[in-house]
Amino acid sequence: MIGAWASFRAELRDLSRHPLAWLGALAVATAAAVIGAREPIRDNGYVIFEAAMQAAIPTAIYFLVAVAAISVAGDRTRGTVRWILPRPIARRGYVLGKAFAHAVLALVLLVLAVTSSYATAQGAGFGDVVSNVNGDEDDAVFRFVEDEAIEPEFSASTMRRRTMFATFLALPALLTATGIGLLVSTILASSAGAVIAALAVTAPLTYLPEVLGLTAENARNLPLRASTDYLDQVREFGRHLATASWPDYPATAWMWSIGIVVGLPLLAAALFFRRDITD
Amino acid sequence: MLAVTCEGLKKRYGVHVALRGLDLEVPQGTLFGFLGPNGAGKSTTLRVLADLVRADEGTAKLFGHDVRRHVAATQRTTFLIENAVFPPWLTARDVLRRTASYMRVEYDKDVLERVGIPQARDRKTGGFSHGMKQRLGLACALQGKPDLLVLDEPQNGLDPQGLRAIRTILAEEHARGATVLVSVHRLAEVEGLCTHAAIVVNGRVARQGAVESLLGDDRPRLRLLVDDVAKALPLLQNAERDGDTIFLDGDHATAAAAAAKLTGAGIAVFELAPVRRTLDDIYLDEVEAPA
Repeated sequence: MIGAWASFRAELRDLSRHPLAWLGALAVATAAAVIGAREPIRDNGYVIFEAAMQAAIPTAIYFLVAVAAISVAGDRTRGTVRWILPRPIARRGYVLGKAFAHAVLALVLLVLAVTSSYATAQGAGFGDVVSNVNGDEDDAVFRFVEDEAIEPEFSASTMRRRTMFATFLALPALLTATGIGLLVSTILASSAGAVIAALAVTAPLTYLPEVLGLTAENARNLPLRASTDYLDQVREFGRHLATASWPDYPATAWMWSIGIVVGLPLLAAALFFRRDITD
Repeated sequence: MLAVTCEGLKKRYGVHVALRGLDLEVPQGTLFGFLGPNGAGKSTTLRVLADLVRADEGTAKLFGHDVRRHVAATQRTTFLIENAVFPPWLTARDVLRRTASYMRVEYDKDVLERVGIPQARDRKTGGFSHGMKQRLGLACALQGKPDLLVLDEPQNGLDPQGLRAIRTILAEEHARGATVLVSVHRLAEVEGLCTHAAIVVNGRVARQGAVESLLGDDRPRLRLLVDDVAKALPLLQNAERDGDTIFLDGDHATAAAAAAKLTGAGIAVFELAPVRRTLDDIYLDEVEAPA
């Protein structure tokens, strides 16, 4: 894709000095630290970690939507798209390069959310996260004896590490947010309009399951829902990681997540390909 | 071989028709003036060539490649489309580096000197004047020694010094062998510079070709100054009076005959000279002609 790499590098450099990206990073870290620390159940690091993440992830989502919405629309508002596109850069390459750069930003914000949530939770120590635990904190052996009769044994440090890994289940939600922002950004020529429209689209999506009356299982098929169903996912995924088997996390959820995460930037690129640049 | 070919370009923005079947041929190695009044369709044509705007009908080709189908079509071409605008947080050096990266060519560190703003290298473009941005835009277009430069009113916002610099650069690029397609609406800026020209009126090319042939197509005229206009006028065919001057349709033979006739009638002829029509005259004829 001609120009995708150049577009990716340029966008990444611009993001590194974008005030909104830095504000987003600050907000995510602050949300995780402050809201996590205010969690009333202070004696269990897992609970604090989850609470902090549930504050940090939606914060990251809204910032990612706003920053992505500015990307293409910002170039059109300023007129810089007239400088970039005839260089020559394929329009699809231009949009997909930006999509990859914003995916990197999403990953950075997620790592930041995990890091600050972990740091907040560390203060209380990681205790019992499942039904049965033996031993002291660091040498504990967790034993799952719930209805599925899985009885793996592993240490607290393993549980911590695997829970951290499970937090990356939130990544599809963050990538979906960038995809929504990018899509709106290719449709609207005004950056302010694109930000407002993208946020207006994102907010109801978070509550779509309630609006549609979906069951919890189906609700999980919606990638943005990962932010609000986060707690369950971490628990479930972390537990199944412990059994060294792929989780029974709904296949349709994976399918939808991957489809939307890949599909939104491709749709944005396709729409932008047909658009006249008249600004 | 043609550097630019447009065939039957049509473009409509809502109710406004910008192009009505525009045909354009720019031969390689020419310095081509793309002339026309505001709103004639010049910028839309150049935007179609840059693939910023999609024509409703017709084809646009650069070096034989359809601009819609081949990004490669623009690989030997650089554009300056209307007023140059850059991200305000980038310095001039950043802009040039990024442009070089987009074009996959080497960054040319000397190009700012060529356009006359070497002192602006490390300044952010957000603080640039309009003229400096235009010069930087031109610098971007010069990087990589393109085979074709498409410049949309590059003289906009430039001071007299800048205008002179633009003329010099256009001439240098042409001398290097590049094709230069430059759109202007003030003819004085390209007069005497262009080898070829096209005049766009109402979304169509009214006339195009080598400047010499455009000028040569016009009927020859003579300007005549005599001591007694009223007495001279009835003696001449196809003559008209404009104050103390008589304009006469005709060539050198007509001039000789008129001189003989007037002197024979005792009228003193002070001046009898061919009227050299300029591109400006032809342009105004086309623009002011009834639709």
